Amino acid sequence: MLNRGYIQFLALILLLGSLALLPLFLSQYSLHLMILVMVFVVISTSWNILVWTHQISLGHAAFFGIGAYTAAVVYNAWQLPPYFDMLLGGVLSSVGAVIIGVICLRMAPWALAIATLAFAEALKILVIMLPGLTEGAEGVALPPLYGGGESAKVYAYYLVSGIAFLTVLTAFLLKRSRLYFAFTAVHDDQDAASMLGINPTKYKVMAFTISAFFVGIVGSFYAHYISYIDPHAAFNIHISVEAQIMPLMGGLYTVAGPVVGAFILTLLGEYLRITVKTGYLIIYGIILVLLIFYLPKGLVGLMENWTRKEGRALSSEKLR
Amino acid sequence: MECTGVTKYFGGLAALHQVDLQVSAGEIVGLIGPNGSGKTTLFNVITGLYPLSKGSIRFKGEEIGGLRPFRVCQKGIGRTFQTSKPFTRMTVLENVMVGALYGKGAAGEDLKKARTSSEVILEQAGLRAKKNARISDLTLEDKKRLELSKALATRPELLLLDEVMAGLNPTEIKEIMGLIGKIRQEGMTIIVVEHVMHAVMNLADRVCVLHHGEKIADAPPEEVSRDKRVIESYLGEEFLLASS
Repeated sequence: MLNRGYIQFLALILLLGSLALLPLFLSQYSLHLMILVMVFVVISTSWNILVWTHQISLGHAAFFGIGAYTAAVVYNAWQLPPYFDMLLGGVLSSVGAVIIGVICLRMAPWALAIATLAFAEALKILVIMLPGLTEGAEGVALPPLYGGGESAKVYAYYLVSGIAFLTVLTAFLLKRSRLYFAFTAVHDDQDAASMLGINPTKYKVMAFTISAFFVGIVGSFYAHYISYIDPHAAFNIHISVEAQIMPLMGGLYTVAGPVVGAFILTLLGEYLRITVKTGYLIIYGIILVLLIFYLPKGLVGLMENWTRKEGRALSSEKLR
Repeated sequence: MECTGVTKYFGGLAALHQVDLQVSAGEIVGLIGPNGSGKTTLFNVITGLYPLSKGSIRFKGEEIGGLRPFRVCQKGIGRTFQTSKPFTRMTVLENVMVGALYGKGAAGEDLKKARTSSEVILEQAGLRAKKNARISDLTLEDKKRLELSKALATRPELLLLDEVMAGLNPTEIKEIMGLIGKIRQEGMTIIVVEHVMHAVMNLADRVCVLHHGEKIADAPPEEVSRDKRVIESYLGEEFLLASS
């Protein structure tokens, strides 16, 4: 047992080390790709946390967009330091999460999915309809992060990696905490959970809030990094869909699953886009369907089968 | 605990009508009645799963009618469900830990402590060997024991057992009866809803009978088994079994 934990730890150090050293070896284009990977690590990990309470959101783009527009509006109005609008983006996303979370409290999962989808779309339309505040459909420009030169990408990479690290760390700590028991109890049987002293509302809304926070931060980051956002990019349903598919593919109730999913799907999507030129989306779709069919527990689940673990008790799931 | 005039309407139908029920500390009270007489509804109302239409429910002097289930639990009332509701994504031990972590007086209880106290409870309930088992590997009796353990982990003072023996064979029933007796000896107050007549008559200090949502009897077991109204409405042939 000690061996396995030790190996896992070593592997983790190696991984983090290589990620930290990447900028030395990558072109500007590849670095940009890795930044996208990190953005999706944050979004997929966050979405996954919500699933732990059996709430399946189809509108995570809403939180991304809130973050992005917070950055755009606040920065252009007051020129506050970007780190500040990123934090504010996270906070406002959490506020949005509380609102939608409370609205969705009594809904069945399918209804919640539709409600969150509608939430994202509604925010998009709201942004379009308030050009005075948000420049509407034309979008907002921001000065590029870190000045936009060559080293700007490197700094941006470290920044977003830091955010991704914090997000994954949060998921990791959450999974080993007392809170995870409440989340899972609510997930499995709300009535039984409340009979054991758990307030389902409190934990469902809490999960929503945590789930939205980092997505908001990374949305603000993205706005600064790309230096331009518009409603369709910020509230893009593609973001919501990827948020789901990545954890699904990587392994839903794990910590590493969404991370693995984010890496593979972002890189795969880009690779196909380059090599296949036309119809790459179809192939992407086929690969996804095959993966979901044959790997119901995701790639991480497959890895576990290989190492032949006997039954997964909650408390023995470490960095997976 | 004191229920006074408890009434519960579903639409136009009174599932419970003016039910009075007093339970003193340390008692075991049996709650019997034909199917549909309102026994589980009464439990659901006491534990806050359904709101009360009329009447009051006091527990240790405090009004608890209308409180949400998690609050009722935190006041010290535990309950098992008729069809067990285990958390399928957790092991047996983890199921019980949920109760230990969030039940009465748990605020901020740490995982290690919860694990230890849960193991003790599992030991008492005879499930220690299966503490790391998955729910799918459990027998029906195991699940009942688990249901009981979960409720016990919340440190209740009053335990509501809803048909905990349903579906068990005579040996299993005897075992569960023993378990309930043990819990009672440790000072627990218990209300037992059951259809297994001999179990109720043997365990209970007092038996209440519900019929169409109304209480029609409230007396020691021997008296109840002789009560004409009860025999007419419910016991029937089972009277013969109960008195054996």
